[in-house]
Amino acid sequence: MRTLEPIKIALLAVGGDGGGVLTGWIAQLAENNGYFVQYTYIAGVAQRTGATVYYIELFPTKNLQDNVAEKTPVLSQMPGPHDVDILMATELMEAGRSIQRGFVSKKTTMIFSTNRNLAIREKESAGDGIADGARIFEMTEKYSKKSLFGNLKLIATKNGSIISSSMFGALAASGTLPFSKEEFIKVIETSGGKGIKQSVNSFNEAFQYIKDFTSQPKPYLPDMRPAVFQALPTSVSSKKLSEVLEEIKSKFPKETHDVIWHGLNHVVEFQDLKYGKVYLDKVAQILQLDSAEKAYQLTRQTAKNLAVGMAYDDLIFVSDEKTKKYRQKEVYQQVGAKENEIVNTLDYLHPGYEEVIGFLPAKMGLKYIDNAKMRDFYKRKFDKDRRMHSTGLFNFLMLYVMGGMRGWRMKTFRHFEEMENVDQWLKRIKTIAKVNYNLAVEVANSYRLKKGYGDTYKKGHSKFAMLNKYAADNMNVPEIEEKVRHILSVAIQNHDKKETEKLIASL
Amino acid sequence: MAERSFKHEVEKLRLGEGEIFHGEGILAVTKALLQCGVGYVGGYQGSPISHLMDVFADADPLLKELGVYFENSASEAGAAAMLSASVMYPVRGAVTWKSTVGTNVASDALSNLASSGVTGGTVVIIGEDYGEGSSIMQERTHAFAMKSQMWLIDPRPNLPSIVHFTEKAFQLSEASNTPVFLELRVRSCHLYGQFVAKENQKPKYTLGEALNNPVRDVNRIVLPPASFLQEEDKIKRRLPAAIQFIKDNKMNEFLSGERDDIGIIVQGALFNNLNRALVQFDLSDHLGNVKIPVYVMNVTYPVIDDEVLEFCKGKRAVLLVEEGQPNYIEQSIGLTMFHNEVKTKLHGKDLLPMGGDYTIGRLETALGEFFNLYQKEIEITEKEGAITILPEDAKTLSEAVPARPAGFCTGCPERPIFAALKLVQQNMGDYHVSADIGCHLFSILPPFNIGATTMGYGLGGASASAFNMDFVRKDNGQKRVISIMGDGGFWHNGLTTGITNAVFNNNDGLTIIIDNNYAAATGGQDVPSSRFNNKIRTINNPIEKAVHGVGVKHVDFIDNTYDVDKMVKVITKALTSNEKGPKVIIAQSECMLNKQRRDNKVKKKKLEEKKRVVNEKFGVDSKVCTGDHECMRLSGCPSLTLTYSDNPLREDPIATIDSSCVACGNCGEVAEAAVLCPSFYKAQVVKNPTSWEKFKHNVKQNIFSYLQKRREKKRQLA
Repeated sequence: MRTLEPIKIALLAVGGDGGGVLTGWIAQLAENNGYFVQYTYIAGVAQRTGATVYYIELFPTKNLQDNVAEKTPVLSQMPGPHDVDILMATELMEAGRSIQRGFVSKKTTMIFSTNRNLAIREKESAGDGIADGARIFEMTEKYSKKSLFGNLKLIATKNGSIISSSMFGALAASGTLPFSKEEFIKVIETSGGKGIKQSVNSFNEAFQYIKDFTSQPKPYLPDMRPAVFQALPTSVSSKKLSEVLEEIKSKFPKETHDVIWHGLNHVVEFQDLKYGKVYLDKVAQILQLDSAEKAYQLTRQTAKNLAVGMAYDDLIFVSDEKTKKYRQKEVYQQVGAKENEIVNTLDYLHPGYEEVIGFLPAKMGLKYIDNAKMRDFYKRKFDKDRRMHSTGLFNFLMLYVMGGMRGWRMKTFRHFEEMENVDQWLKRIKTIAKVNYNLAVEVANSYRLKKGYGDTYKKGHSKFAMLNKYAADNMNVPEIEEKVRHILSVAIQNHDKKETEKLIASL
Repeated sequence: MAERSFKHEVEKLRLGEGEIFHGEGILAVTKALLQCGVGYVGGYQGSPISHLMDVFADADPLLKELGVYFENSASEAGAAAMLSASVMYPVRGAVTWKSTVGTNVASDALSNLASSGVTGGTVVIIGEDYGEGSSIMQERTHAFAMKSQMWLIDPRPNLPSIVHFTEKAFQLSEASNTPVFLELRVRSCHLYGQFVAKENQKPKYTLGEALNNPVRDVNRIVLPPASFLQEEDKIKRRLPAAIQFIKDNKMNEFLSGERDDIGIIVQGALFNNLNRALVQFDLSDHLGNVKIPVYVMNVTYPVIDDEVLEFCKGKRAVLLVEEGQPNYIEQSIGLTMFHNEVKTKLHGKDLLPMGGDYTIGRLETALGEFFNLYQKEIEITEKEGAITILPEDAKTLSEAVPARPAGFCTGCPERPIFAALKLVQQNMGDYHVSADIGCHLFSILPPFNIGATTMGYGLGGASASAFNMDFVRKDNGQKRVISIMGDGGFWHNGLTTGITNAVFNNNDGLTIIIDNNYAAATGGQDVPSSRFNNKIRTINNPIEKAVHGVGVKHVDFIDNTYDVDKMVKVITKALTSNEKGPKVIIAQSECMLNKQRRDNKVKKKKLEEKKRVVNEKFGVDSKVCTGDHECMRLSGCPSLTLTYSDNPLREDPIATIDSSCVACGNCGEVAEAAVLCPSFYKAQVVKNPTSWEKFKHNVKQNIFSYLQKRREKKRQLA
């Protein structure tokens, strides 16, 4: 009796993936080929960015009596436990969800895209909240009969289509449905939808990709990867820089070269080579306390955070960035414009009181920063958005001039403040390193808390300050580094300083 | 203009005798109504029957051809009251809404209708929003059917069955002079399948005829003494008539099996799940040829006692598969068995969970236990490929797989309103916010986390009414209550229960009316204040006028909700002023999905004609963004997401905007209003620019390039 089984297909999709379109295609395909089709879904959920399940069952009509009026097969509206033949997911985490929901079993062929569509939880988390996809991928291998995957979204996008077309191609290539490739393509061609040519191209590329995959499985490659430090170049074209390159090679151990070289370039890009040398001197001081046994962890962490710390985000930096050639290219790339097209940009700026005061000479800034009257005056007269068309000639010139004020930067209050903060932090690291090396590494890491602009920057700074004070006060306590590491992770994950405050108070 | 157009699909409604209809459940129901010669249809949208209203609207030309009247009712109460047209006249009417919330709203009219009784067949198609995928509280419509004596049909979930029972519902209604509920579960509304069509029928008796030959009968009006007689009539005549009709027409099914010592009683809509579970025990096939006797209750109220007794005869035990709680059917059957001294053991909620969806998995478990008790020889066949997820892997999955709560769409004009409200709370401390039903309810979820209660559609204002501190001056720190109301809810009942009531009772709270031009949450249906292109309704009735009309003095109207800075100021003012009486802010910007649908058409046409078009999109400067994610917590826009920086010094991912951006401007506005960061920019790509524009662009580019090269050179030398 069980020989007459429907083919059971579940599709897990996220908003904008065209799950409805793909479901419609599969239904059409099966009906064209003599199957009775039933599918169902919950309307409107995917659109509003939730995840949703489309469920389809295909039943061969040759098993039915003459017409459907006489006999309609009794099909299901949701997958039974471990009872899905083909599981498709348009996103990696949705593939994981299908296993979590018990749809997948050793008879299931999984076809999924490895692209990531980040959930709000991952996005709003401070620090790096992006889930580890490799763990999900391992589950798909472990719990399904066969797992076919690739960045199908990328294939679709490359061809100017959406993921439903490449998923359809992957389904065709998987050999899980008893229909020819031509039958699949016919469905797209007769669908009457938009962008048929692009869909067919996307279909074909995905088809080929999965065909190749089935003969030669490819390893899992995460869609999103953090950047890695590149090795030190053997030579550089700029004469002055190559002097410094040699200096790094001779003064610093090999294990630290990549970070320091990155850091140096970051700082030079921000200011100039002279400033870069200051950076190297500061790193060198830390190196004296470090050793090869510790794999130069302290030097690496300090070099990394120091570069970011010294290249703080002031008005000059922002203005400079907004007028760079690189920026212009990035805009064109981000909006998908061709090189010969006209793209104008409107920038949303709103410098806060601190940022403006930071631009004043150090002494003047020190005088005004805590001046309530001045702050109030600013709030009333100047504290508003400064939206500007950065591609307008006048605005561009203004930003350009401002971005060129590097000489001035060295005299500003912001620079004075940042340097004081950096130097105290380095001093603290040095003091602590003599007592507790691992704690010093954590303190070096803690500079990561300082980022953003305006209020965010203030919050970050106060978390940084709290943690540093706690570490310095307790550096003689055994195993204090564990506690500080914990505080750091809590401080990173909670944008508000309250959690950090509470935690420190409780320790 | 609704989110989904059925203009193309409604053509299927014209199919004639013997042709095969392929399509979704809601279309099938519409087709069935036309086949039944329905005279008028109405209803109020809400998942899962929103699309049924959209199908009606898109089928308006065909309805007119057939002489069928259709209206978008003001509320479910309005829809139920509309059915009174069938009280005195033999005209068939059907309305639809989401249950159980819609049934609650409609209950006053429904009670009256059920008491009066009907002459023409009246059918209420209810979208039973129960189980996974439901957006409301889990309650059964069954209770309403019982207390008002309306019959409840819960048919097997396939299109031929749904269509067949739509026809039967009218007949049953007429045979027993009682309105009938036709219950469609969430998944059946969107169930794609096929059935054999019949010819559409014009109404046998028209509304026009009725108006020209008015009939009145005081005995049909719910007033004593008639109301007492109506109760008698329900018991003595209508119920027996219904039972007779249900039996005669074999609306419930007796499926015979190989064994006769046990049996299963199931609600029609759950038959497919039951059958699939039986297949796992090799006790059925996919054509529904069960090996155990099954009594399928396609009519779940009234329960036909004779049929139940007949089914139980000679059986040691029956398992009742009845979803949801309380277990009304089990109570009813149990009592019948008790009165008739039937010795059959009745199982139900003892083996099945009290609440929740009866999924195939749950039924398999219950059947296993049931068979263990009575059928030792039945063995559970090992499922092909079955595998158990190890506990540690289950843990990994639950940690790694993120929830995807529903949220505002890309470009939604409501997002900036809640970003502004969040900023206001950051400045002035938290407020009690009384939320309402609609898209704006997504504000209770991350990243906004705003809203304390939600009591019903349009009741945002009313549920804030206790918090009336009109006797306390606001400059002494006394906070005001904030309530939210959508335009859909406003017209549904919010104008009276929220606004007018606040005026009448001098409530000094703040009501923010979120006007996006449509009932957007249910799929973008028009409301009286909608503004664009509706040929069959009268729109353009501003909310502002209505609010002024009922006597609100303090009304702020914002026609660009994306101006976050202004929103913050207006809200702050309304919360801090010493002015007495209700404060109303009407925050109006069009639902982006609808706007895009209109604008894109125009743009496409312009591009085809080689006319100048400006495409807008937002971006984030990757080097300026520091990866603090503050913008995520104030925006939550689906197109605003993260990517890893190409600079390994910055380890936290940075913001980026994907290609789905519709350039609403929310992210930039929020960045400005909250003084977040200078990373956001709006890019305007000019298609088919004018010659002057091209010239200007080229000159500028030359100057920019010269300056950029100059600085790069200097940087290299420095």
